[in-house]
Amino acid sequence: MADEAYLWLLVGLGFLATYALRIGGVLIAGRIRPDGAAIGWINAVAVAIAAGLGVRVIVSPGGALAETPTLFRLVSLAIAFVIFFGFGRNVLLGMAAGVVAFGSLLLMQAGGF
Amino acid sequence: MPPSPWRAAWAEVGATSGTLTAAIVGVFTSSFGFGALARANDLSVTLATVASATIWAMPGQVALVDSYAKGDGALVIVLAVALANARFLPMTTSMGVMLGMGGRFRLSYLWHAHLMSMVSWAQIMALRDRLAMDLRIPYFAIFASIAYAGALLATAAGHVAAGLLPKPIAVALFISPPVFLLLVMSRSSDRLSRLSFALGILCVLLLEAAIPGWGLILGGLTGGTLAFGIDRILERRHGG
Repeated sequence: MADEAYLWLLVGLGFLATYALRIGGVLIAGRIRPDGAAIGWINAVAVAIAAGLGVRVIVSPGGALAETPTLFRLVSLAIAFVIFFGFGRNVLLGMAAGVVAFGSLLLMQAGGF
Repeated sequence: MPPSPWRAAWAEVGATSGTLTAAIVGVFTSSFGFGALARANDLSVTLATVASATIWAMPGQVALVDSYAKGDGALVIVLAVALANARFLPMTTSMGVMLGMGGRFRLSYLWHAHLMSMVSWAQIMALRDRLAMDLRIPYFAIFASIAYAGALLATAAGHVAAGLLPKPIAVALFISPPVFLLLVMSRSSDRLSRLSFALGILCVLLLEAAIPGWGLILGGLTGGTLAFGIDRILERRHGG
């Protein structure tokens, strides 16, 4: 039970650490000009971080994805983009195609096909 | 009489239901995976769901469980969570400006800041040219709340159902969040967003290889700054 209480404390501290970053962003947002250079730079950094995060999860993931071949993940992402652009930038179709392709490759590897 | 912003925002959510569905699938699968991970590390279903509800940022949640499982001390664990979620500072800033959170501070902003996740941020940024200013906060609140509720359900479901799905199928679902994120961000049509997207990917990958663990933040800062500088130069040369 001591462990359980410790875990609750960790979750509480993790929440505070994350929430401080969120509120910090909102407070900064209230103090800069919406059409100024500063927000242009902040947007650019935020987009760069988000894009980098997405690709990092594909190229060098942790957890269960790390046990899958990199080629499978890259091929599935490529298929998602082909369907996405081929069907008028349809996010749902693109994502579904990527997941189905990835699942099919994993099933083939496991001998399920 | 014109429709209220909330009614109009619901209509917009309906008009973008394909993206919302993709977002729900992305959030659901990653939260399902988190529930399974939490169970594997002896966190109760209640604690796992509360972690999703309060931290509400997958990299930070995973960092917490992973760091705890390794036996790290409380300070190291909290730093790991903060570092994993450091991207929220520029993201909530850019979202706050986009949603028109300047001027008088409202208590509802405290909740909106908490609701933001990678998928809701990507969606609201992608729609910034389409949504009128008075629709942005209602649209964001509806979209993000649905994703949030889905994540909490999925965390509990993942905890309870861990091990029931065949492994290749369960693992295949985990690729949906990054794919969703990259597809949504690819819809941006302005030059600065495209440059930031491309240079962010390049710099994060290069710096992650050079300085493991720091590539995301340093690469994002470098890529975004380079993109901003190039965009300004092109703007001066070509006038836009």
